Amino acid sequence: MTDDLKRHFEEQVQAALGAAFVSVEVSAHDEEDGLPYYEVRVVYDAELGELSADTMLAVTEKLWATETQRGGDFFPVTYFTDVSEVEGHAA
Amino acid sequence: MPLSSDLVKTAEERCELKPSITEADLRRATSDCYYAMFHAICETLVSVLGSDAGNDAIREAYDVLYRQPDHAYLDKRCREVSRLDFDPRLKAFARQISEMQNKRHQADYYPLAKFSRTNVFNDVAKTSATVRSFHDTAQAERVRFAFFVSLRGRKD
Repeated sequence: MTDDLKRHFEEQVQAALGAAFVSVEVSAHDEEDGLPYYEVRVVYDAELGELSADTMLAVTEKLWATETQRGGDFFPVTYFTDVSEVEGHAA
Repeated sequence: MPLSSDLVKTAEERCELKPSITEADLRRATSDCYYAMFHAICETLVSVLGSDAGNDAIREAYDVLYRQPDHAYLDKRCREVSRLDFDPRLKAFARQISEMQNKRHQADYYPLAKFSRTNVFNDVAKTSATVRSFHDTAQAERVRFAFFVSLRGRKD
């Protein structure tokens, strides 16, 4: 995936999470049956804002809309993990 | 209570259990989420048959129809749903089932995959919300969706 797309994904996730956003990492993979997907690993800080199910679902919707608009078929599989559980991040 | 709702409840209970939640709890909750959504589709498929479980012919059709969904085909079709004319709640359900199928594979087949507590708790919350919304949609639209993601046309 291009740096532009990664940056675009990061901007979308950051806008959706607001102050709770810490970081996002995106990598491209293929499922066993060959279908492509992006693994989108979002780190957030629950002390700065709990995430609602609607917020997290909206992130997947926006990322998938971005991908389909550009004619791609990598499905975003999103992981939302609190910063306290991530090694290397200060809690 | 339908099996789909029971499975969501089971996933929620695994996450509520105790402070010392195990990796097995997190993997099983992930799998429960996917199967809750999978069974919601199966239940919707057979809903067109009515509820005459005492009728042998209906019972046979029920078993055949319930077992129609194929995991790989379901994923492929769910990815197509966003581009088509379906209720937004069904589109959200389709995205979530594709995501949970991917994670279910990690949970059931990849012993080195890492599962964090907050991530799985968030998956359970997302699944619970989408299954609830799925059941809130009009039955006819839900049936159209279930048939679209499950049954192969002549050209598939």
